[in-house]
Order: sequence, then C-alpha cells, then structure tokens
Amino acid sequence: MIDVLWIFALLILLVFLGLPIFVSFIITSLAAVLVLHIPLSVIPVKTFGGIDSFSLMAIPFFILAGNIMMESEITEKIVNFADSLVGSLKGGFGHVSIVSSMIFAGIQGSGVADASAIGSIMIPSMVKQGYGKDYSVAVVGSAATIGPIIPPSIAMIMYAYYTELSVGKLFLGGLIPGILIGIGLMIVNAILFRSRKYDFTRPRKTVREILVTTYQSSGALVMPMIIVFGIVGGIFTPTESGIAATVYGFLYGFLISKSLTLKKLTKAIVEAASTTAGVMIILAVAGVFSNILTRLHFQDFVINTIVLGIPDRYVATLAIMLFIVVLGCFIDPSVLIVMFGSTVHAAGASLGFDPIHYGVLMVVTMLIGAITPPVGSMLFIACSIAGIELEESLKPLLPCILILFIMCLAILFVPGLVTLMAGIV
Amino acid sequence: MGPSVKPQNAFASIYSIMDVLRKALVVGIFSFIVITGSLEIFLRYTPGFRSLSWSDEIMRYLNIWLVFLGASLTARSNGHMAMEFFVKKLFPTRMLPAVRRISLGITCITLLILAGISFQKVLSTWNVMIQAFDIPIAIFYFAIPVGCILIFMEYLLMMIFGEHPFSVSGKARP
Repeated sequence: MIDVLWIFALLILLVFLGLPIFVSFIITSLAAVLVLHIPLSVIPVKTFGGIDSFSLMAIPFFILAGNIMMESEITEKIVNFADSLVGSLKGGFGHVSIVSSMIFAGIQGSGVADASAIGSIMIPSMVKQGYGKDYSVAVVGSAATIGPIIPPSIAMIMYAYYTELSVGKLFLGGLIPGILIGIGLMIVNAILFRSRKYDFTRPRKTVREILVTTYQSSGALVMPMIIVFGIVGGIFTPTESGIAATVYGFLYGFLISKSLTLKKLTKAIVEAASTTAGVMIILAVAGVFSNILTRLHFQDFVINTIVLGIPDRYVATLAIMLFIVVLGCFIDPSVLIVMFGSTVHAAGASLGFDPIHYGVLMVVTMLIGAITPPVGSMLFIACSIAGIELEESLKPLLPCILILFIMCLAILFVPGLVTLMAGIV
Repeated sequence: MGPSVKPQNAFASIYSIMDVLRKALVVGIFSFIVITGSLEIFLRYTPGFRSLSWSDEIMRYLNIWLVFLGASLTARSNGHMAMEFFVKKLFPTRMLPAVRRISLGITCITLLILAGISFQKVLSTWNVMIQAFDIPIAIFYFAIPVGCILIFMEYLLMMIFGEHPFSVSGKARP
C-alpha cells in the first residue's frame, strides 16, 4: 500500500507544481515502472492501448460536430430562441443563459465549450444590462455543468471507457438529471434576481416571434434528436451517432445555414483535433498509470478496507461523494474520472448499486468541482470573460452549487431519475 | 514571463512550413476518419452492400496519430490542462518566469524520454502487421515519438523565447 501512496502523492505533487497533467502522469508512471521493476515496454504499449478504442472515438466526433455547428453561427440562434421562451420572465437573461446551456448541451458534450460559447455572448449582454459580474458568472458557470450531463457527454464517454458500461445508457441516464439541474438553477436564478432587486423587464415575445426563433434554431434542436433517437432506435452506436452528428453539422452548415465555408471548416477541424488531443493524451498516458494501480491491487484495497468498512451503503456513497467533491475543488472532473472512475464503479457494484445509476451520480458529483474555487475550469472561463477573480463570484455561486448537491442527493436516493431513461436502451 | 525574443526569419519560415504540414495531416486524417465512418454506416443500411471489414481498426489507429499531432497543436496554444493556481500562490511574482522555465525544462526532458522509449517499440514491432492490411503496426506506434518530439519542440520554443513566438492565442489555464 505504501507504493500506492507514494505514487498518488507524487502525481498530486507534480500536478500542484503546475506541470501539464499528462506530463505529471508520464513522470509518475516512469518513476513507478523503475521502482517497481516493471518492464519499460509497458509504457508505449499502454499509452497506445489507452486510446486504442472505438468507443473513445466518439469524443473527437462530438467535439467536431459542436465546432462545426458553432462555425455555422448556431450559438446566437440558440440564445435568441431561449430569449423568446424565457427572456420575459423574472430572471431575464439569467434564465436565457440556463436554457441556452441546456440546448447547447445537446450539440456539444463539453462544459468548457458551453461556458465559453454561451458565456461569450451572455456575460457581456448581462453586464451591459446592469446585472452584477459576479451574478452573471455564477449563472453562466453553473449552467455550463449541464453540458456534460445532457447527452452527448464527453465525461460520460470517458466514464464508460474506464468502467466498460454502455455509453448509450449513461447518455440517456443523464437526460433527466440534466433537465432537473437546469430547472433548479432557474429557480435559484429567479430568487437571486428578486433578492438583488433587479428590475429588467423585457417585453413578452409574440407567438409569431417564438415560432420564428424556433425555426431559426431548429438546426440545433435536431442534432440531439439524431443522437438520442439514433441510439435508442438501435440505428447507431454512440460513436456512430457522433459521426452522424458531424455529417449533420456539415449539411446544416453548408446547405441550411449556408454560413459554413471551407476556411471555417478547416478551422473547426484543427480546433477539434487540438481540443480532443488535450483530453485524449491524458487518457493515453493514464493507461500506464491504471495498469500500475491494477498491479498493486489498488481497487481491491479501497473496496475491502475503506468502502466495505462503512456499514451503511448510503453513508459509504456519501463518503465517496465528499471525497470526490473535495478533490474536485483542485482537480478537473476529466482527470478525476481518469484517476478514480473504475474504482468508484467497483465500489458502487460492491455496495449493490445499479452501475448506470452510480455512474451518472459520480459524474454529476465530479462536475461540481468544475464550478468550485480555486480551480473550477468552467467557473474560470466565465470569470475570464467577465474579467473578475474566481473568489468574487462565490456569494451568488453558493446557491447554484447547493442545487447541484441537492441534485446529487436526489439521484442517490431516487435511482429512477437515471434508470427510467437508461432502461430504454 | 520576461520579455520575449523574436526568432530569426529563416527559422520562422521553417516553423511555418512544418505547421502547415502538421495541420494538413490533421485535416486529412480527421476527414478520412469521418468519411470512412459515414461510409460504414451508409453501406450497412444499403441493401446489396457489405460493411467495410477494415474500417474499425484503421479508424482507431489513425485516431492515435490524430491525438498525438493534435496534442502538439494544443501545446502551441498552451492549452494542455495544468493547474498553475498553487504555483502562483506559492512563489512571488518575480520568480514565476524562472519557475515556469524549470517546469518547461522538466516537461521537455520527460517528452524526450517517452519519445525514446516509444521509438524502441516502433523498431521492435516493424514486422508485426495489423489485421486489416499488410501494414506494420509500427507505423501507428510511430505517432507517439513523433507527437512527443513535436510537443517537445513547442515547449522548447516557449522555454527559449519566454512565450511561444508563433502562438496566435495563448490560452491560460486555471
């Protein structure tokens, strides 16, 4: 067990020293291979094997599909559509941000992309209208967490890869929790709006205006339908649904919106490759790390010594969730999945939980870290757009984080929130 | 970072050619993967046609090239996930450029080691063929050392010049 401890200590030390995460994994794996006398050839073999997976290829496809849609100027249309639906309610632009994020989640599986795309439009508009920067950041940042919960989801693909669960079931399992988080955030937004005594009234849109914005944004609304119905109907595998989404993106951009050009397409492809690589190179080098932990029986130790040492399975799960939330304050959700995905899955199975239910619960729990200071990635992007420090947004952010906690507890105690949809496939 | 020094024009031209080639490869590979995947779905649902037997394996292996080439593009924009929060809190501002250079130095050495170990694997698998075609799997293993060298080069430029001399947009990370 001493070996596991120093390996984790070294990894966390290197990460905290500011080295790129993938480099931290390489150094830790090299050190472990040398100290534990494991053949060096394990490193290239497991690095290669770490991403040699057809199901993981869904990641580049969904990122490319989302990029193509953004290059086709879909984001503004989504925002206009959300504005026509909820812009006139008490809560105004905050509601628009949240609904936009929920729709955007259906075309991009990444919360960071969600925060960046929606935030770059909504935060300046909100600030211009008189909303506080902290308020705008809290609403946009927390709404971005819906991105990896509503399908498609890069986080779910990664979790499925490490646990050998069905990507399709995890996708669908995230649908109801994602929508409920959106509704919960809208309630918080309405309360914050009133407590700050904002009075930005916007005229109610006419039915005709709503129909026009619906038509204009229908390109974005069709994509999640292709993904969900393609998987549910057994037409595509999740990876193939990513290909179908990409092809749909081409057709939409070139034939429907007519705003996609070859230059923009090339840019979308290069940026998609770069974004994909940022995630997948960690998966590649973490292949060595996972292999070393398996050799050291890390998973057995955690389950037998810690998880099964707690008499109640709900208390044990709450302890795991607390551990993840604390670590999540410092470590990105995707890295948490790489480090602990298979272990928490095994823990859930040994505690008698449904694996899909437990998977969605853990992914949502890990995502809380993306909006908590000091290093929440989605919060960081929203703060960069607004030009404020992370700590400044803390006050309005707390009730938003609370909603995510409540949702996690709801998922834990009401498995139907996940299994109802996941059971369809 | 301290004041950056701009590289000579000849070097800038060489880098520019390399960058164009890299992007062309990325676009070519990504397009090939998407077209192959689409064709596979199309053929499956078209009566009288059979699925491509080789598509799955080739797509997976090409994706490895895509990841390692893409990772060098990510390095260029300083986009690799890293946590600089504690470093900024731990060290005084005037020391940060030096700390950053040390961090980049460690990164460069690590990448060279991984490139070396991976290249040995390339040499040892030259006679091992993939299932789909009579192509050595070494061609796909070769993505790791090539990618590592390209990423190494990007980080080396940052270490020498203080910031990436050819970066169009630096992405800061939390």
